[in-house]
Amino acid sequence: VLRLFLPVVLAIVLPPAATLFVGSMLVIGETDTPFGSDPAVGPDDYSGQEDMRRSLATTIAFRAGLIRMASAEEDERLKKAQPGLYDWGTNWLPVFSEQAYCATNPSAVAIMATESYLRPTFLRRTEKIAAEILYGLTGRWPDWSFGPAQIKPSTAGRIAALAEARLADLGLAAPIDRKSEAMFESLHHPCAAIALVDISLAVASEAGDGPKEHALRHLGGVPVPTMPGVIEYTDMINMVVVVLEQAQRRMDDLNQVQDGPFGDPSFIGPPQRWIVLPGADWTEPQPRLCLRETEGSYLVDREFGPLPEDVASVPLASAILVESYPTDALWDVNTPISWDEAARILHRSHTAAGAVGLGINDLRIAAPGAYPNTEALAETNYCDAVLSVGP
Amino acid sequence: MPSIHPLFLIVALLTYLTAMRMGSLFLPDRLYFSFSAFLFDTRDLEKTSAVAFKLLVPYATSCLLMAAALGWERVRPVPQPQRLRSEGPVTLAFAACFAAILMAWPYILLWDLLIAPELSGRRIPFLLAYMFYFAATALVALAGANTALAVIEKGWSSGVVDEAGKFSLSVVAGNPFAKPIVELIGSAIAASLAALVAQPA
Repeated sequence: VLRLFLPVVLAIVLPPAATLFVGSMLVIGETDTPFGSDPAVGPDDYSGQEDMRRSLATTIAFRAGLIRMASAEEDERLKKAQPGLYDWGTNWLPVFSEQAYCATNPSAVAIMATESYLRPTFLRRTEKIAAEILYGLTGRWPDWSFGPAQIKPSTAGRIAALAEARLADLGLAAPIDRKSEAMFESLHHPCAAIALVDISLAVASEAGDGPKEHALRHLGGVPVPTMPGVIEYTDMINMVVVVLEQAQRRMDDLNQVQDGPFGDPSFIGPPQRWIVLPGADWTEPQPRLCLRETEGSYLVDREFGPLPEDVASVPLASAILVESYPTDALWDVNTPISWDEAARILHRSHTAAGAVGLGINDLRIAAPGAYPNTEALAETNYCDAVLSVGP
Repeated sequence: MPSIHPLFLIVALLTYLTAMRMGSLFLPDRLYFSFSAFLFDTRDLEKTSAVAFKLLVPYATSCLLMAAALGWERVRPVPQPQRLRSEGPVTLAFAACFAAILMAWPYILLWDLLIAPELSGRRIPFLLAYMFYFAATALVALAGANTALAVIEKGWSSGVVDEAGKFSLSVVAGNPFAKPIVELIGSAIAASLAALVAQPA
């Protein structure tokens, strides 16, 4: 009689057991880091006609939650925006998330996505647990590469030292948070880890560096030898950046056909602003450019002018960045600043210096209240920062 | 413990895959059951009949396969005539379960690519629902094979009461139809649990 009712018992007991088994297999094989807001999904027809490297790069970006498939309705709008261009293949669109602001360099985002794809979540968790056990036994963190960006604690320490030196050059004296516990934790935190990569790129990058150079730098400068035909790391990072840029371009095209003020062709951006020139009794450094901040970068908005003949003829050799709303906390020597904050400052100064063709070494950030008149000038002209030529 | 008949397994697997695919092609849309229908479709009555239809396909297929195998055996005598009787039902159950797994496998593996974004967080509940569905398919196929065996081999040979005219479980257990009926009940329980797990949040 018991045997007769065995099917009923099996029907109830077997499926949960099988779920436990298959579920744990799926967890072990899990590769996606929820870096973006939501895992992004779209229609299930999936064009396999793009070449393999691009497909892999797309998969990496998708797994990291950086791109999503366009919906059918968005596809239609894209086709309307650029007839003939988007008729074939899957259209990928960028995913916006607050965490994307942890990094400013697209190469840093690509490096992070690729590293976390190559080292699945389960492995990274296991590494972390093993390192914590070793730390408990020996009192030292093992020097392995950790976290979604795969950075070694020693490398993180080096990056911190470099970043502090660079910040000191800019005029800031605040140290970066370098306590060993905090550092180890920050290697595993997506935002902090990507900020570290971003800092290392911001500190070391030279003019004209592309994603490939950045990727090589993340490897420690030594290319990993591969067999011919095998996908190479720097190539892959480059491809991920290309995929991200293409997604962004598609988004721009999509926004062009959106209804509302942005879809109106007669709409030509914000109204022109009047630049107030400083008076004759001006004692602070001569303001030259009005900068606007977009997505963490400084762009030249307007030029102060016309400048007096003797000022305009002097070639630009060094500059002072006067921000209209400076962050007082950054100037406190006693409070350490976080990784992502340091990354943002470095990136802002990089773009500001680049806007006038200078290197970051020729730039200095003014302490709050150092040039009150320039700060006031920036505010009356709606500038986020003013670039002045230093004495 | 009966083992699995290899040749019968291959034939059964191909037949199940064809039958399930045909079922999804020829059934009217409102009767076609899919896992997303559990969530998106709110027509409860049709949902129940859709699940019934979905499970009817393996039941009928295994009934026919078992009958065909027994008929084949009668036409062409095989060296071990008892083997198909003991191994047939288990082989059919295994084949049906495997066919169902094969057809749902892309969804299990590529869940985050294929499922609607608002449901992507419910991977484990759905995995559980799939497993209940696989169990239901296996049991319904087992029931089908045992029904065919009971009808062809034994007929209505015993009832549900003993010599004294009293209801007796041991006599019920000896009834050839008791086995498929219990298996059908088990299948129904598994299918209901699948529906319960996959209910819209």
